[in-house]
Amino acid sequence: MGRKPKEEQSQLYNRLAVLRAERQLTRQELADAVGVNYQTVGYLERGDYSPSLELAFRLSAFFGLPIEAIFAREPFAPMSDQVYAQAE
Amino acid sequence: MNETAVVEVPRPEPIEPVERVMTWRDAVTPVSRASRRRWTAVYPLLLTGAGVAVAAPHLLGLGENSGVTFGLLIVMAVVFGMLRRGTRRLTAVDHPELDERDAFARAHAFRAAYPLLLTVLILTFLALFLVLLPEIDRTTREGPNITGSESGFFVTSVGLIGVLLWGFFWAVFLPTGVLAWREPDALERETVTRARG
Repeated sequence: MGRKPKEEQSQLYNRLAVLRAERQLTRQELADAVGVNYQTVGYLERGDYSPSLELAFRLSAFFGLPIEAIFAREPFAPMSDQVYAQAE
Repeated sequence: MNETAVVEVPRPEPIEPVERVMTWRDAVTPVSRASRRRWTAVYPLLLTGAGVAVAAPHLLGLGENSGVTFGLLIVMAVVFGMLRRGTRRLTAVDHPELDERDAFARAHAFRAAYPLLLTVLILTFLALFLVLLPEIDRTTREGPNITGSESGFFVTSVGLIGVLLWGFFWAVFLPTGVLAWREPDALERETVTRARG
Protein backbone atom coordinates (compact mmCIF):
# COMPACT_ATOMS: atom_id res chain seq x y z
CA MET A 1 0.00 0.00 0.00
CA GLY A 2 1.36 3.38 -0.93
CA ARG A 3 1.50 6.37 1.31
CA LYS A 4 1.14 10.06 0.97
CA PRO A 5 4.37 11.99 1.34
CA LYS A 6 4.22 14.32 4.32
CA GLU A 7 7.80 15.20 4.97
CA GLU A 8 10.73 16.12 2.86
CA GLN A 9 12.48 12.77 3.31
CA SER A 10 9.45 10.82 2.17
CA GLN A 11 9.08 12.74 -1.07
CA LEU A 12 9.31 10.57 -4.15
CA TYR A 13 9.99 12.27 -7.47
CA ASN A 14 8.88 10.87 -10.78
CA ARG A 15 8.95 11.43 -14.50
CA LEU A 16 5.43 10.26 -15.20
CA ALA A 17 4.26 13.54 -16.72
CA VAL A 18 7.19 13.64 -19.15
CA LEU A 19 6.86 9.99 -20.10
CA ARG A 20 3.13 10.34 -20.61
CA ALA A 21 3.60 13.45 -22.75
CA GLU A 22 6.25 11.69 -24.83
CA ARG A 23 3.84 8.89 -25.61
CA GLN A 24 0.95 11.30 -26.17
CA LEU A 25 -1.21 9.58 -23.63
CA THR A 26 -4.04 11.04 -21.65
CA ARG A 27 -4.23 10.43 -17.93
CA GLN A 28 -7.20 8.17 -18.54
CA GLU A 29 -5.29 6.01 -21.01
CA LEU A 30 -2.36 5.59 -18.66
CA ALA A 31 -4.73 4.95 -15.77
CA ASP A 32 -6.57 2.26 -17.74
CA ALA A 33 -3.27 0.65 -18.66
CA VAL A 34 -2.07 0.31 -15.08
CA GLY A 35 -5.45 -0.18 -13.42
CA VAL A 36 -5.98 2.97 -11.37
CA ASN A 37 -8.26 6.01 -11.53
CA TYR A 38 -7.15 8.82 -13.81
CA GLN A 39 -7.15 11.11 -10.78
CA THR A 40 -4.53 8.91 -9.18
CA VAL A 41 -2.31 9.39 -12.22
CA GLY A 42 -2.67 13.15 -11.77
CA TYR A 43 -1.90 12.93 -8.05
CA LEU A 44 1.16 10.79 -8.82
CA GLU A 45 2.41 13.32 -11.35
CA ARG A 46 1.89 16.18 -8.92
CA GLY A 47 3.67 14.31 -6.13
CA ASP A 48 0.54 14.25 -3.97
CA TYR A 49 0.74 10.49 -3.71
CA SER A 50 3.56 7.95 -3.70
CA PRO A 51 2.67 4.66 -5.40
CA SER A 52 2.81 1.22 -3.91
CA LEU A 53 5.60 -1.05 -5.09
CA GLU A 54 3.02 -3.00 -7.08
CA LEU A 55 1.84 0.10 -8.95
CA ALA A 56 5.42 1.26 -9.49
CA PHE A 57 6.21 -2.09 -11.13
CA ARG A 58 3.12 -1.86 -13.31
CA LEU A 59 4.16 1.62 -14.46
CA SER A 60 7.68 0.38 -15.05
CA ALA A 61 6.43 -2.49 -17.17
CA PHE A 62 4.07 -0.26 -19.12
CA PHE A 63 6.77 2.24 -20.06
CA GLY A 64 9.39 -0.47 -20.55
CA LEU A 65 11.80 1.29 -18.24
CA PRO A 66 13.48 0.35 -14.98
CA ILE A 67 11.79 1.75 -11.89
CA GLU A 68 14.74 4.02 -11.14
CA ALA A 69 14.23 5.70 -14.52
CA ILE A 70 10.71 6.69 -13.46
CA PHE A 71 10.99 7.24 -9.71
CA ALA A 72 13.78 8.71 -7.61
CA ARG A 73 14.42 10.02 -4.12
CA GLU A 74 16.11 13.10 -5.55
CA PRO A 75 14.67 15.49 -8.15
CA PHE A 76 15.41 14.44 -11.72
CA ALA A 77 17.68 16.57 -13.90
CA PRO A 78 15.89 17.90 -16.99
CA MET A 79 15.84 15.31 -19.76
CA SER A 80 17.32 17.82 -22.20
CA ASP A 81 20.41 18.12 -19.97
CA GLN A 82 20.86 14.37 -19.97
CA VAL A 83 20.37 14.09 -23.73
CA TYR A 84 22.94 16.80 -24.46
CA ALA A 85 25.34 15.37 -21.91
CA GLN A 86 25.22 12.02 -23.70
CA ALA A 87 25.68 13.66 -27.12
CA GLU A 88 28.86 15.47 -26.06
CA MET B 1 22.19 32.60 -63.45
CA ASN B 2 21.12 31.52 -60.07
CA GLU B 3 18.78 28.60 -59.76
CA THR B 4 16.54 28.44 -56.80
CA ALA B 5 15.54 25.11 -55.46
CA VAL B 6 12.09 24.83 -54.04
CA VAL B 7 11.94 22.56 -51.07
CA GLU B 8 8.58 21.39 -49.99
CA VAL B 9 8.24 21.43 -46.28
CA PRO B 10 5.58 19.03 -45.07
CA ARG B 11 2.82 20.84 -43.29
CA PRO B 12 2.22 19.66 -39.77
CA GLU B 13 -0.85 17.60 -39.18
CA PRO B 14 -3.57 19.42 -37.31
CA ILE B 15 -3.71 18.51 -33.70
CA GLU B 16 -6.78 17.50 -31.88
CA PRO B 17 -7.15 18.62 -28.29
CA VAL B 18 -7.97 15.84 -25.89
CA GLU B 19 -9.76 17.37 -22.98
CA ARG B 20 -10.71 15.34 -19.96
CA VAL B 21 -14.30 15.98 -19.00
CA MET B 22 -14.86 16.56 -15.32
CA THR B 23 -16.94 13.75 -13.86
CA TRP B 24 -18.50 12.98 -10.52
CA ARG B 25 -15.18 11.55 -9.43
CA ASP B 26 -13.82 15.10 -9.37
CA ALA B 27 -16.62 16.31 -7.18
CA VAL B 28 -14.69 16.79 -3.99
CA THR B 29 -16.79 19.70 -2.93
CA PRO B 30 -15.69 22.47 -2.82
CA VAL B 31 -12.95 21.81 -5.35
CA SER B 32 -10.12 23.75 -3.72
CA ARG B 33 -8.66 22.32 -0.54
CA ALA B 34 -8.42 25.72 1.15
CA SER B 35 -12.15 26.32 0.69
CA ARG B 36 -12.95 22.75 1.72
CA ARG B 37 -10.96 23.20 4.91
CA ARG B 38 -12.86 26.35 5.79
CA TRP B 39 -16.17 24.52 5.40
CA THR B 40 -14.81 21.56 7.35
CA ALA B 41 -14.01 23.90 10.23
CA VAL B 42 -17.51 25.39 10.09
CA TYR B 43 -19.28 22.12 10.88
CA PRO B 44 -17.75 21.54 14.36
CA LEU B 45 -18.57 25.15 15.23
CA LEU B 46 -22.19 24.63 14.19
CA LEU B 47 -22.38 21.33 16.08
CA THR B 48 -20.87 22.86 19.20
CA GLY B 49 -23.27 25.79 18.89
CA ALA B 50 -26.22 23.43 18.61
CA GLY B 51 -24.98 21.45 21.59
CA VAL B 52 -24.62 24.55 23.73
CA ALA B 53 -28.00 25.85 22.54
CA VAL B 54 -29.60 22.63 23.79
CA ALA B 55 -27.60 22.05 26.98
CA ALA B 56 -27.06 25.60 28.20
CA PRO B 57 -29.04 28.11 26.13
CA HIS B 58 -28.40 30.86 28.67
CA LEU B 59 -24.71 30.85 27.68
CA LEU B 60 -25.76 32.04 24.21
CA GLY B 61 -28.37 34.41 25.58
CA LEU B 62 -31.13 32.21 24.25
CA GLY B 63 -34.40 31.20 25.82
CA GLU B 64 -35.51 27.59 25.82
CA ASN B 65 -37.11 26.35 22.59
CA SER B 66 -35.84 29.39 20.73
CA GLY B 67 -35.67 27.59 17.40
CA VAL B 68 -31.98 28.42 17.04
CA THR B 69 -31.05 24.76 17.52
CA PHE B 70 -33.35 23.72 14.70
CA GLY B 71 -31.83 26.39 12.45
CA LEU B 72 -28.31 25.24 13.31
CA LEU B 73 -29.25 21.64 12.54
CA ILE B 74 -30.54 22.67 9.12
CA VAL B 75 -27.31 24.54 8.33
CA MET B 76 -25.31 21.58 9.64
CA ALA B 77 -27.16 19.26 7.27
CA VAL B 78 -26.36 21.54 4.33
CA VAL B 79 -22.67 21.85 5.20
CA PHE B 80 -22.32 18.13 5.86
CA GLY B 81 -24.14 17.29 2.62
CA MET B 82 -21.77 19.54 0.71
CA LEU B 83 -18.68 17.87 2.19
CA ARG B 84 -20.20 14.43 1.89
CA ARG B 85 -20.97 14.90 -1.80
CA GLY B 86 -17.31 14.76 -2.65
CA THR B 87 -16.21 12.16 -0.13
CA ARG B 88 -19.06 9.64 -0.25
CA ARG B 89 -17.30 7.57 -2.90
CA LEU B 90 -14.18 7.27 -0.75
CA THR B 91 -15.99 6.38 2.44
CA ALA B 92 -18.13 3.76 0.70
CA VAL B 93 -17.21 0.27 1.77
CA ASP B 94 -15.99 -1.84 -1.14
CA HIS B 95 -16.78 0.64 -3.89
CA PRO B 96 -15.82 -1.07 -7.17
CA GLU B 97 -13.99 1.99 -8.52
CA LEU B 98 -11.73 2.56 -5.54
CA ASP B 99 -8.07 2.08 -6.36
CA GLU B 100 -5.09 1.84 -4.04
CA ARG B 101 -4.86 5.60 -3.47
CA ASP B 102 -8.55 5.83 -2.61
CA ALA B 103 -8.32 2.87 -0.24
CA PHE B 104 -5.28 4.44 1.40
CA ALA B 105 -7.03 7.82 1.76
CA ARG B 106 -10.06 6.13 3.31
CA ALA B 107 -8.02 4.05 5.75
CA HIS B 108 -6.04 7.12 6.72
CA ALA B 109 -9.22 9.14 7.29
CA PHE B 110 -10.76 6.53 9.57
CA ARG B 111 -7.50 6.09 11.41
CA ALA B 112 -7.26 9.83 12.03
CA ALA B 113 -10.96 10.16 12.87
CA TYR B 114 -10.82 7.59 15.66
CA PRO B 115 -8.54 9.48 18.09
CA LEU B 116 -10.41 12.69 17.26
CA LEU B 117 -13.70 11.03 18.19
CA LEU B 118 -12.17 9.68 21.39
CA THR B 119 -10.98 13.19 22.25
CA VAL B 120 -14.43 14.66 21.66
CA LEU B 121 -16.10 11.96 23.78
CA ILE B 122 -13.62 12.31 26.63
CA LEU B 123 -14.01 16.10 26.66
CA THR B 124 -17.79 15.70 26.54
CA PHE B 125 -17.87 13.35 29.51
CA LEU B 126 -15.47 15.59 31.43
CA ALA B 127 -17.70 18.59 30.77
CA LEU B 128 -20.79 16.63 31.76
CA PHE B 129 -19.19 15.48 35.00
CA LEU B 130 -18.03 18.99 35.84
CA VAL B 131 -21.57 20.26 35.36
CA LEU B 132 -23.38 17.29 36.85
CA LEU B 133 -21.16 16.40 39.80
CA PRO B 134 -22.17 19.43 41.91
CA GLU B 135 -25.82 18.66 41.20
CA ILE B 136 -25.38 14.99 42.07
CA ASP B 137 -23.54 15.95 45.25
CA ARG B 138 -26.23 18.43 46.27
CA THR B 139 -29.01 15.94 45.55
CA THR B 140 -27.24 13.28 47.57
CA ARG B 141 -26.91 15.60 50.56
CA GLU B 142 -30.28 17.33 50.42
CA GLY B 143 -32.41 14.79 48.63
CA PRO B 144 -34.31 15.55 45.46
CA ASN B 145 -36.91 18.27 45.58
CA ILE B 146 -39.48 16.58 43.41
CA THR B 147 -41.83 19.51 43.49
CA GLY B 148 -39.18 21.90 42.17
CA SER B 149 -38.62 21.83 38.45
CA GLU B 150 -34.89 22.63 38.60
CA SER B 151 -33.91 20.94 41.85
CA GLY B 152 -32.05 17.68 42.18
CA PHE B 153 -30.27 15.48 39.71
CA PHE B 154 -32.50 13.83 37.14
CA VAL B 155 -31.46 12.13 33.96
CA THR B 156 -34.20 12.70 31.44
CA SER B 157 -34.70 10.77 28.23
CA VAL B 158 -34.34 14.01 26.27
CA GLY B 159 -30.98 14.63 27.90
CA LEU B 160 -29.80 11.11 27.13
CA ILE B 161 -30.96 11.36 23.53
CA GLY B 162 -29.16 14.68 23.25
CA VAL B 163 -25.88 13.17 24.43
CA LEU B 164 -26.29 10.21 22.10
CA LEU B 165 -27.03 12.47 19.14
CA TRP B 166 -24.02 14.61 20.01
CA GLY B 167 -21.75 11.53 19.81
CA PHE B 168 -23.50 10.24 16.72
CA PHE B 169 -23.11 13.52 14.80
CA TRP B 170 -19.41 13.63 15.63
CA ALA B 171 -18.90 9.98 14.71
CA VAL B 172 -20.57 10.44 11.34
CA PHE B 173 -18.84 13.72 10.56
CA LEU B 174 -15.24 13.04 11.53
CA PRO B 175 -14.22 10.57 8.77
CA THR B 176 -15.84 12.79 6.16
CA GLY B 177 -14.27 15.86 7.73
CA VAL B 178 -10.80 14.32 7.75
CA LEU B 179 -11.15 13.28 4.11
CA ALA B 180 -12.43 16.70 3.08
CA TRP B 181 -9.55 18.28 4.98
CA ARG B 182 -6.85 16.06 3.51
CA GLU B 183 -7.84 15.30 -0.06
CA PRO B 184 -5.65 17.19 -2.52
CA ASP B 185 -6.94 19.90 -4.80
CA ALA B 186 -8.88 18.59 -7.76
CA LEU B 187 -6.89 18.10 -10.93
CA GLU B 188 -6.75 20.86 -13.46
CA ARG B 189 -8.44 20.20 -16.76
CA GLU B 190 -6.24 18.08 -18.98
CA THR B 191 -5.31 19.69 -22.29
CA VAL B 192 -3.09 17.07 -23.85
CA THR B 193 -2.76 17.59 -27.58
CA ARG B 194 -2.26 14.70 -29.89
CA ALA B 195 -1.18 14.56 -33.52
CA ARG B 196 -3.97 13.25 -35.71
CA GLY B 197 -3.40 10.08 -37.67
